[in-house]
Amino acid sequence: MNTVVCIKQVPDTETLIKVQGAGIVQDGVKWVMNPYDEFAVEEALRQKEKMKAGAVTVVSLGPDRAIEAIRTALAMGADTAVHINDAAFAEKADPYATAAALAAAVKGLTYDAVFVGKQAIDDDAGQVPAMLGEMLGIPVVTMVIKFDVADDKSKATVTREVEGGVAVIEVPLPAVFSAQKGLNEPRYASLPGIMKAKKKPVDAKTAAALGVTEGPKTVVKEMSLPPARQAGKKIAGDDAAAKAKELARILHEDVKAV
Amino acid sequence: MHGSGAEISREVFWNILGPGFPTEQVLLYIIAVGAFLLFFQGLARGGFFTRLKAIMKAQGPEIDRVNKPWERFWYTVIDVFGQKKILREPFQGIFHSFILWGFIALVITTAIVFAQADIIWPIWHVWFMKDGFYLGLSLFADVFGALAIIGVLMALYRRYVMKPKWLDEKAEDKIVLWFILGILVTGFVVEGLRIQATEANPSSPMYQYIWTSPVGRTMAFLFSGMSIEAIKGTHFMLWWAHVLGAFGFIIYIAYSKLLHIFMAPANIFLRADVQNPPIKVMPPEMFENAETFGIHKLEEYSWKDLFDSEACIRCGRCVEVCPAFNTDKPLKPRDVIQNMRTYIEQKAKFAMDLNGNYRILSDEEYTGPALIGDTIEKDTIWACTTCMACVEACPCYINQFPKLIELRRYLVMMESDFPAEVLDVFKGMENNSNPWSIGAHVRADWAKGHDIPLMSEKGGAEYLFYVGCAGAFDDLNKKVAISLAKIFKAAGLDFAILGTEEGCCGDSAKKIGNEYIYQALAMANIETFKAYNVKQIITMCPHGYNTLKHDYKELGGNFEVFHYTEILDKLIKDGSLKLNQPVGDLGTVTYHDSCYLGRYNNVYKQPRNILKAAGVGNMVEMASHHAKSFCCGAGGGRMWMEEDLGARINQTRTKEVEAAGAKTVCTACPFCYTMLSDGIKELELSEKLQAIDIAVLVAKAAGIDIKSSDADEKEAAS
Amino acid sequence: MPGTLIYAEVQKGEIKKGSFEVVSKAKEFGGEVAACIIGKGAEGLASQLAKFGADKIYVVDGPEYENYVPEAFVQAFVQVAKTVNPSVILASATAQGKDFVPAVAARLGVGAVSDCVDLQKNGDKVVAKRPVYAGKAYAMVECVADPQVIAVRPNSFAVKEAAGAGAVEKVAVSLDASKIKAVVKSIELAQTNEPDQTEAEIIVSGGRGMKGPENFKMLEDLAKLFGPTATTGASRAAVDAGWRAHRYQVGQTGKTVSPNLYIACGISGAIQHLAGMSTAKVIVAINKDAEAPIFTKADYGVVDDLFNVVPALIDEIKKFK
Repeated sequence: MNTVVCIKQVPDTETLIKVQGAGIVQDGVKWVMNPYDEFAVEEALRQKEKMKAGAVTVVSLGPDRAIEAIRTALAMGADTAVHINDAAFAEKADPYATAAALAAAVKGLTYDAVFVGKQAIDDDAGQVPAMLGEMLGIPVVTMVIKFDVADDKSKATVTREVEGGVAVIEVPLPAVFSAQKGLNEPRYASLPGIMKAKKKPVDAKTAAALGVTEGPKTVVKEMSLPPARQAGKKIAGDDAAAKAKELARILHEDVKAV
Repeated sequence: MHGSGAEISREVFWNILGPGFPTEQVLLYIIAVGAFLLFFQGLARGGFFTRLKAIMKAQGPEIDRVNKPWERFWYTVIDVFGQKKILREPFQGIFHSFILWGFIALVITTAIVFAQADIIWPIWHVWFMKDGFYLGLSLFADVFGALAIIGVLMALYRRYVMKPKWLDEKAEDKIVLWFILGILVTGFVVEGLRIQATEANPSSPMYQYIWTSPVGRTMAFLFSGMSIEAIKGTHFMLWWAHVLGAFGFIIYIAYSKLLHIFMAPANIFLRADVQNPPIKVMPPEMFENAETFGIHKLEEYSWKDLFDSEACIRCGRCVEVCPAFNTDKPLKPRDVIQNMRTYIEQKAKFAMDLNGNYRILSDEEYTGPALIGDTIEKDTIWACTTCMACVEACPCYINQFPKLIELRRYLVMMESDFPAEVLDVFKGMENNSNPWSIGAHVRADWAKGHDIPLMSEKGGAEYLFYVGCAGAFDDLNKKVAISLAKIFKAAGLDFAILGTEEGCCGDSAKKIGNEYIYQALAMANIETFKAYNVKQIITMCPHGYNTLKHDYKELGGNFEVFHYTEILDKLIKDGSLKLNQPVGDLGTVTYHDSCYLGRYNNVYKQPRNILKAAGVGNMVEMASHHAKSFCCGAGGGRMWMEEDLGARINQTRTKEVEAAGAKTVCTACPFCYTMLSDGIKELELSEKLQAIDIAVLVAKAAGIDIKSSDADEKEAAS
Repeated sequence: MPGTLIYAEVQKGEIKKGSFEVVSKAKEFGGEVAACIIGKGAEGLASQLAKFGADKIYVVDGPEYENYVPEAFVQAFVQVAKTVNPSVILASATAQGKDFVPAVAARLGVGAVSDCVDLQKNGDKVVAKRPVYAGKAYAMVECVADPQVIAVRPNSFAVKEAAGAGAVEKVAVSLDASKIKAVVKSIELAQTNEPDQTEAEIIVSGGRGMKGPENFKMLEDLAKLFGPTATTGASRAAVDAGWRAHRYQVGQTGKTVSPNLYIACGISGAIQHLAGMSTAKVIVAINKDAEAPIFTKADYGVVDDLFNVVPALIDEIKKFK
């Protein structure tokens, strides 16, 4: 089975976010592969290993530094990569433009399925999977937590998270699948994997080379930090019962929750 | 006839040799030669030479263990004859020493008798074994022979009655003891019979000296009622039984654990000459070139690693002290070594070609049991806390746990096979340079408001205070970091911290087996240290201490590294730090030795000195302390792993604190501090027990308030 | 007159509260407020939207809309949207909304803004405020062109009754069945009447300090006392320990919630957890460790053993009933 995995390089969850105008200060930011994309890479690798055939191609849109995330995916076991690296996108690519660029790159590849993380943890938009499917003209199943493919690669039976439970969906291939936590446990790249990844082919492409014409459809006007949440008051009392009584009073009178 | 002439002596081969041709004596020579031949045949049959071939084929790093041969030789002599390490355990130590010394004494005596009767007398007709020398020799042999019997009886008592749970049981263990006992007892009976028949006669010139053979003399009383013929008949039979037993013993050495008579001293001679147990150095360039990392097949070990298994006599001291074993985890260091020994033979069956050459088989060619999984289970590999108690306890200087680290390296770097919870630790170290995965930018937040000098602002300092991840990120241990910084300031020490430029020391990564991350972290730190021209480093954590002090050297980082207890001890002694404030009611205090401070680096007395100087009052030691201290459970990366199997190590240690009658347990390691604090909480002993780090205590004794920030102090002063 | 078109979501035969919230917000913007409701039996629900000010309600009803099938719903909605030609499209960022909204936007050839917590009208433009970087920052986002497609996090706006013409129009949609490729084989929903955590107004959440799965009963009891809009949640530690199902998990890798009241019991407050609940309006923390980071975020903190506090709290609250 041939698969494409779309990944994004994002700041590590613990990195200090400092805002500046409509973006963040990039100095001192530790960049990593989007954690949800790790599930996507892992699933593609598992499908390839299960079918004992096919290739996994990684596609990523990002500046020079994004090569690190691409190498991480290659170290996990992906075979080749396309790196869409174009100053035109620098920090301005909204989900729509991102999906358009990815779609342009994916169109040139052979694939039975496209895996992508359910959302990137930087803009937390979660739009790319659905838009990518629209642009490629193939079905999309989001929030996938279990993936099975028919032996003839004609269709996949997947379980997706829905509100209050799960739904089992059958979908013909090719299709786009967005990976939710629970789909698998991403592997930790082995040392030989890391070393081999340095030699795997990465195809650098510009927007023009891919024929992408669509620009962003949304604009970030400004970024701000949330007001620091102040530590509130500690409820005093001689014992647990007294504190509980006071808390109940607050919930009743001040919060009006009761 | 032998012994002619000398009155104060004895006749060798009394009652054995008839007149004329010494048939029995010649027979004895033939038997002796036969016994030695059978001994070597036994070695071959026992697989010794096969194993030796495998050992010599080891592909691991070439290590020089015959450098400084005289130093090694004398050390070995002192260790073996002085029973240095053996005697650390009183009961075992005494019985083993008795047996060993008895054995040596009897071998010497026998050698002297042999030289006299079979060489010097026949050739030169000189009889030196007489008078005072003879009497002394007789007393010497008797006393040590008696000690050996006592030793064997003690050993038998342990095998049959005490039966400690860490001792394993094979038939040979009891056979060996009964065998030795048989030889010793027949020896004394033969002596007793001879004395009864000869020296016990008041007309004998030896009669007045008869008590120089105290055991033999006493034995003789037993036979006082026997006729001379009966005595001679019995003596003749038992003499042969004794002699044949002794030669049988020599043959049995080849087949049994008795081989340690040779292998243990050999391994002591070949020991590592640094205190830290060597974990194979992986040169950085290896990551670019090597195909495989860590060890997954036998031959990848060094020859010394494999030879260790020859020296293991299954004494079980390593098991006795192992925190994993003592909390019912599937790790017995002895069994790791023993399984390796069995595996060497097992694998040799596959690897040996028809000409008896040992070939290194590729993974594809080899179809037998695997090293990882079949020989040493994964749960065993992950159970180790690297506390070094096994290495410290081993009388044969075997390095048990470093062999497991090599297997971890393979599992982690080649197979990505490790406890699931470790993934976040690796990612945290990679992305934020700390195992907690906390943002690297808050590394220096603990220091905020305390006016602690920063290297980047100061440009340099006499000492770098390397705080480490625990002091920087863990709430409990931030108090320790603040205490230390304030103490250093109060003592007028010229120091600075690196703040957010500091990185994780990498100890956990290294011990979990991720040498790749470890080296990346270490190199980054070394570069930073060098940039500030750092010469001396004080660490808060013993793990950082050990890593910076020893392991960084392998990567070109040569610094003088101190643990904070060494510095505080010095500051107190030279008067820079005055501890004159009350530390409050701590009750009875005990100190928990950190493995990486004590066993790894011999820092035992400084923490105790500091506690005394701080005036803690009544101090007690726990059941296990100093070199035998029981691990808190956090070393070797275990801090970051779930403890699903058996009892919790930290709780077991906490119970030892309680059992010692202490109310306060002092620590000098953030991991120990955390583990014991948790142990107290988990066992709901908070009312009775408390854990406290020495630094926090010292701050109190020095009258330093670690809570108020400097800003507050200034405000209060103005 | 281009106004706002709202996607009214139907679940279990009822319109989602979040849909009413965006109707109320749209009313503030002025202009015509239209809603499009899709579902089997939607016609019977349509009039409810008028109560909050919908002027026009487009109904797409039919057996094919019994379950949410993205392609069918997108086709239907896009047809309505093309007819209405609104300047703004609003939907609630529920689980379904998150799946549906970007597909609609892409098919309309416009961008979308996800998971907003506030909207401001600036001339013709709606400026949407949305948390990014797991709540570590807020971005103010605008769409370049109409329709401006925006999904709003549930509980962001109050539901207010308002007058609306409420004209109901049943729309006959011609679905291109050849494009509906994904088939729902089965749906398995947890048997519970509790609201989803993302929509609940009150969440009583438990962490590692709960010590075991059996103790969550206590939190369920407490939640029940707050009425039908309350539910329980859990931290990652409790979910990883296997004490609660993943659907309860609040935090970075679980659900992001904005309830009016969030009661954290035995939760230390790891950054990953805070990322999921820091937009809660009132936070109460109960933890015996006074140093727990959760207290730095809590409006009210109780430093004590939750096993004593929670039962006493339950008794005290019962007294108000």
